[in-house]
Amino acid sequence: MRLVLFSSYVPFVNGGGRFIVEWLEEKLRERGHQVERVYLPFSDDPKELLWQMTAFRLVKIDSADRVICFRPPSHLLQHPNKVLWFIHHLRGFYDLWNTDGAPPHTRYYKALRRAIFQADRVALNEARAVFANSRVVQKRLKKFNDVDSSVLYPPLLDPTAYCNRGYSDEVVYISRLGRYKRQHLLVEAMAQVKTAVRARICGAVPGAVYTKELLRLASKLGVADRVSIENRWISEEEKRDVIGRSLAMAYFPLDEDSYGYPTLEAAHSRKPLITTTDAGGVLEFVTHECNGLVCDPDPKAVAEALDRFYSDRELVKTLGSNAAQTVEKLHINWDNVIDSLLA
Amino acid sequence: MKIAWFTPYQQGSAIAKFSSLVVPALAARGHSITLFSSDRQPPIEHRRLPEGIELLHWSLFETAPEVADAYDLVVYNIGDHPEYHFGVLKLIDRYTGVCIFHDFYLVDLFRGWCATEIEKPLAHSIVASIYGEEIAKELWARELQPDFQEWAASHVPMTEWVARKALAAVAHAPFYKQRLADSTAGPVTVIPLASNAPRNIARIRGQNGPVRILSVGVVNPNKRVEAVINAVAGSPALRNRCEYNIVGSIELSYRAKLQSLIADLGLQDAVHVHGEVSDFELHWRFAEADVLTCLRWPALEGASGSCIEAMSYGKAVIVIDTGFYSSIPSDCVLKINLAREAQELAQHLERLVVDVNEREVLGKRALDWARREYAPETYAQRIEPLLEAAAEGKPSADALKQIGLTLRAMGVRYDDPFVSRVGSEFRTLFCGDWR
Amino acid sequence: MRGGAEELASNLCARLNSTPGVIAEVLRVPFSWEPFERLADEIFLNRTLRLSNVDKAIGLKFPAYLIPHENKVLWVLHQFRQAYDLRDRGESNIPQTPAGEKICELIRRADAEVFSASHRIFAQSVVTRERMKRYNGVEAPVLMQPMNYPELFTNCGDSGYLFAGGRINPGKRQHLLVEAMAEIKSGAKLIVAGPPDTPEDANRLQEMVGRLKLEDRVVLDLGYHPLAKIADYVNHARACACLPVDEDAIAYVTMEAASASKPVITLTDSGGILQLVIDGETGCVASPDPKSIAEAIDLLCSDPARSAHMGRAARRLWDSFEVTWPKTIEKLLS
Repeated sequence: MRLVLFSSYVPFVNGGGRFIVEWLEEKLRERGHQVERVYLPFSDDPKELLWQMTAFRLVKIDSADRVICFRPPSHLLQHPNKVLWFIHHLRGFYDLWNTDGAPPHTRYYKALRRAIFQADRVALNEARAVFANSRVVQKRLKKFNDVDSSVLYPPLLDPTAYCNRGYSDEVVYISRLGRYKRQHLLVEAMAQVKTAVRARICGAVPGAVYTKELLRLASKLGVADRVSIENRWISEEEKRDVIGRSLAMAYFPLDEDSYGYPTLEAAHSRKPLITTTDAGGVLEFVTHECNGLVCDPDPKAVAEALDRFYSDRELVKTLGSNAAQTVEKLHINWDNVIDSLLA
Repeated sequence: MKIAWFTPYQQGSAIAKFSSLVVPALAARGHSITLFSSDRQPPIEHRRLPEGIELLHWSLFETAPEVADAYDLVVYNIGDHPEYHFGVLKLIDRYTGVCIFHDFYLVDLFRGWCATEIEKPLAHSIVASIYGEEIAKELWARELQPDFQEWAASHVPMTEWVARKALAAVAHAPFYKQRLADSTAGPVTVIPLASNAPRNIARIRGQNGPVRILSVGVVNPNKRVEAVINAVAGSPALRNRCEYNIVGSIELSYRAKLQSLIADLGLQDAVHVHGEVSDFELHWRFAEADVLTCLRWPALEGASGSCIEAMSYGKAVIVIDTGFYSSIPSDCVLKINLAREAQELAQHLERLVVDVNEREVLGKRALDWARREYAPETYAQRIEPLLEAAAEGKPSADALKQIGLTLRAMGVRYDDPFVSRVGSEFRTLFCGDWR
Repeated sequence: MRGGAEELASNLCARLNSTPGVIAEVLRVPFSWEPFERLADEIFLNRTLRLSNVDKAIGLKFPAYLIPHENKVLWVLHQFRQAYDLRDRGESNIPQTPAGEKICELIRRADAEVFSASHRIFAQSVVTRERMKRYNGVEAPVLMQPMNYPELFTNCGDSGYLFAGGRINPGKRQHLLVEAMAEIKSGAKLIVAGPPDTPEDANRLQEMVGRLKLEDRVVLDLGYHPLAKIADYVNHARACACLPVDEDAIAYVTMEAASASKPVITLTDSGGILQLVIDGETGCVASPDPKSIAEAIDLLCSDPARSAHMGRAARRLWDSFEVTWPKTIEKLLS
């Protein structure tokens, strides 16, 4: 099939939204499909939304038998065979409308919001099929747009490259550094552990503010010798190695809207996850004491989980093994993805 | 909603009076409204402000643009007088808003604007873009001819010039609704003009006094006072029993003309030209009148404030069956046909002069109708859904304007099918069903 | 859809990313020009896209180069020729009707605006420059696109054959070269090496060689070859041939030949190549018919000294253009 993967982007901003497209592109080519990837720039300045959306609406991709659209407003594309793999809405107007980051709730913005909802409804209903990358997103599509979608979990590009290289004493948190990722919770927990468990926090973030905060926190709590904190880009190879040799993975972003690639990286490496009750989409993967530990989002509870893993390696092995099986159970693989998208 | 209400607010402006009635009624419905005087210069003498309402000047939007951001909606009152509505024209391209069209004939407004603000070629192309090249040429050719107003009202009223810039529009009578609807991208509603009906009308009429005929409003040939004078002159019954009072500002030359006509017809005792009078005297004149003549040809206003006022005083009113007047129920006023003006005018006057009962019945019906239709509260209630719809449509209107600017910069003509195609894509996407 | 512009975009991007202090990405915009009314949509849509987080934008092709940015440099291979010279030649999808004329006017206007709004404008070839001057009244200096691995191409001696590299399709006209081989008087040999666009393109050449019984003097090495292998062919040739129809830029094939100090055979209607191939000095410019091409082949392949002399002249001329990536990037970023 001649396929086009269509998404919006901000130049030079990389993230999950790009990986899902580019990895799918590679996997489709492996299976012999002709694929092209089209990214068009999009700025989410509220004053410029409606006419930018109009521009996307006028795009014509006539060389493709089917187009798969990802990040909004690419879903507005008009095409007879449009499939949506929905990752998130224009969140400031949807699930984040009642938070600090949202536009002001004036008449104008409320009316703008309704116009956006109207457009989304039109675009979503035109699609041949709508997939969501998580149940969180699936629920939002239903709640805000009254649209039914199927959950289609995004796999890692190369799951087999991840493997278990033994269990050390170190719990790792490998993810972009950020307040909403809450690496600080791990640092705080480390101040309350009773065992000799160690922690490693590694990830890249533009700007050093949060990193400085973490370092200061570690120093203040006297855990700097047991928690390594690195703000740097980590290569795929190194990442696999670090996770492969870890005891477990800590991953507790606040109310994330999908399980996140770190969850899969841990699972493929047969490492259980320590997460929290408020981690959002992560809980679609992690079940307490089945394939990981789900604690209350406070340092004491996390410390207990850390200690428990340190002391009970059998538990770690079992949960880690179950985590790998969860991937199977949830059909997180490229065959499923491609079969679904091309059905 | 927070509303910026643009209106003339000089003492003599009828629209100012209208605003002073409607704005408090709207405020009573829960809206927060600030008055902005659209008079070119801030009025030295302005109408008294309603309780709790602030008056600012339109120029503030220019000097302090952040002021505009504070409002959910802008409302512009549109009339034909260039000095009264100068501020609107200065701001409307940058700040779109709901336009209340008190007049549908905006030629004087346009010409006043052209005199100081835009060059002739642009003025010509504006007219041509609405009415075509031929009409545009004729406009400047016919400017000084006596029948200009009549010709312009039917061929080039310039309503569309402002309507095109409006977020939504209000007409005060059905007859020009379509013209507005054809040019305005947003919703258009017809709302009868608000006026205040005096609560208790004293009967000043004496038993054996003359039957008083009154006409009110700026006195010019459009108001057909000469037809009334001639009708009185031509009927012995009217000559002997009537007093005709002509109230309203009048130009010296026209006053002289009327005085001369009155003298020629020997009507000095019966017909009096008063010129402009105070509010108090106006009220007294209305109260003492038996018959009101509200004749206009052609009808240039959206609705007639003085006719509504006359009806609000419970008077028998004679009108020409055109424009706004056609929309009044036929049992509330006496409508005459222009083609038979002299004849029908004389007939109605003669009858009304004699038949007190008919005058009272007509007046009562007029009063009941006016009280319901023209109460400011009714106006506020009727305009509110339009204001809500306009506020709802503002983000789309802003986006469409941006798109329009891009299309214009591309060199696409306004009548190119591509324009309507983009507009249609936009509306299908954002506005549900395209109206 | 990979074409010359796509390759240039990738190459430029790679070079920019290796420049200290610069990161670059390629933005490819889908372009659909049928039916011709669609062109208005394309202009509108590109003008309406917003670029954020970008310090500088380099516009290569219509309509993508219309995307607004306050710091934009144009490096134009060609405008949308269907609105300009191709239309004059009757080879456009835009009809000679009032509607068609309106669309052309929109394109001209969009081009005029982007040309004046851009910080700098470069044309990728003399042909492009002439066209932009003629149709849009714009003076743009020529900035040619450089080769990627100039160091691979160097004169390694003369093994006596004529080499024709590059993609194989009707537009590149290798078939004319093969036909000409049937008419040569010298003992010249031809090697054609490169990827055919379609199987038909390969068959056409193979069938021709068979039909004209040229097996003894024509070698077809069709398919993708690593650059090192192509370089090998070029570096040991006596002369090279590159004879596309109406191409704006100087083809890589010709740059490679000149870098290796080989004279080039081209045709009068080949386009931008003529900037580098000067008849009698750096190569031969023949008429697009087999007989004339055969004469050129004989001329260049029968006299090794003359070929070497012309090859050195080709190299000198090419060097004088100073078409290198560092220089090019310097100009683009200035």
